[in-house]
Amino acid sequence: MVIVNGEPTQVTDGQTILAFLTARQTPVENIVVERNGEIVRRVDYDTTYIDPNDNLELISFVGGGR
Amino acid sequence: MTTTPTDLLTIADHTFTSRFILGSGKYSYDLIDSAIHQAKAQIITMALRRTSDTEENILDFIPEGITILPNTSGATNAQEAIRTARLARELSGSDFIKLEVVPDKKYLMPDNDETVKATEVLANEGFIVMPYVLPDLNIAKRLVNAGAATVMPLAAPIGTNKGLAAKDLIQILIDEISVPVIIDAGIGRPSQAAEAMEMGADAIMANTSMATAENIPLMAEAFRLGVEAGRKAFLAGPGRVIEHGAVASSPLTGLSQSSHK
Repeated sequence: MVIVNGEPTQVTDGQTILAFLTARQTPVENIVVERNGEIVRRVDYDTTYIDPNDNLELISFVGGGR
Repeated sequence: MTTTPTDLLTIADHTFTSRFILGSGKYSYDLIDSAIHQAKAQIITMALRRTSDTEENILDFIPEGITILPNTSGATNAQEAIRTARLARELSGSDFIKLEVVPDKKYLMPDNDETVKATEVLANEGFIVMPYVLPDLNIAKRLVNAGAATVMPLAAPIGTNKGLAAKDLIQILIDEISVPVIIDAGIGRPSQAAEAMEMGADAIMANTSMATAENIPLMAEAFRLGVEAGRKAFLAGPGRVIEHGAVASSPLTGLSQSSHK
């Protein structure tokens, strides 16, 4: 099972990161993706395939600081 | 313009006319635009967290031309801060990073040693590192040697609105440190911001003091005026203080005498 932001998540076999983000309607420009501790560059989203044991972190900006 | 066109805040090779940096926590995103406008802020800091499908995207609320200063809040050691900084750069496309390493949950005290370690790594990677620290001259010197673009000492613990509790230690940094000294936490009122600027601080960062005000845009404006007043006073060179007695400001001669006996 793929872990996405700490939660076990069903991901279609052989899906790219771009396809996964598109399916969950996550705007690509608003997030950064970390896959197994490594940042995935945005240009690589459509060539990076999600493996069944991957740990994905999807990170965005939020209000915060002082 | 805060004072004159030539009075610029320079961070690395970036220049700003505003000396008031805004935080973005604890208040509604739809107030961000008016807070930035009233504060005339050119830099706003924000944090990174896991994406939520239900939350709005803060970037949609930031006007054009505002410099985003990502922070590493949540990091408890150098390694976590470095990771967050790298994620932030990928997200923002900018090298600015407000480095915060805070292992202490009760007082939110930064870890100065871990902050130096992270500064060394990030500066080597080309980041414009703006570290948040306890005001300590030796640490500040180490940060500058490590490549810090600014030093951001706390005035008082984060979110307390206590003002310049660390005033004397901050003054030492202002006097001795070559990079901009930006007061980062604890400034609770515009008068305290003005006092810090009078002392020679290069800029003020505030958030809670506005976020907890009843009228956030109005308090943002008040802070802007406080920062500007303090900066002008610093540039003007504050008058001296007489500890004992008094010095008359009107002539002591030529006094009119009453003709009544």
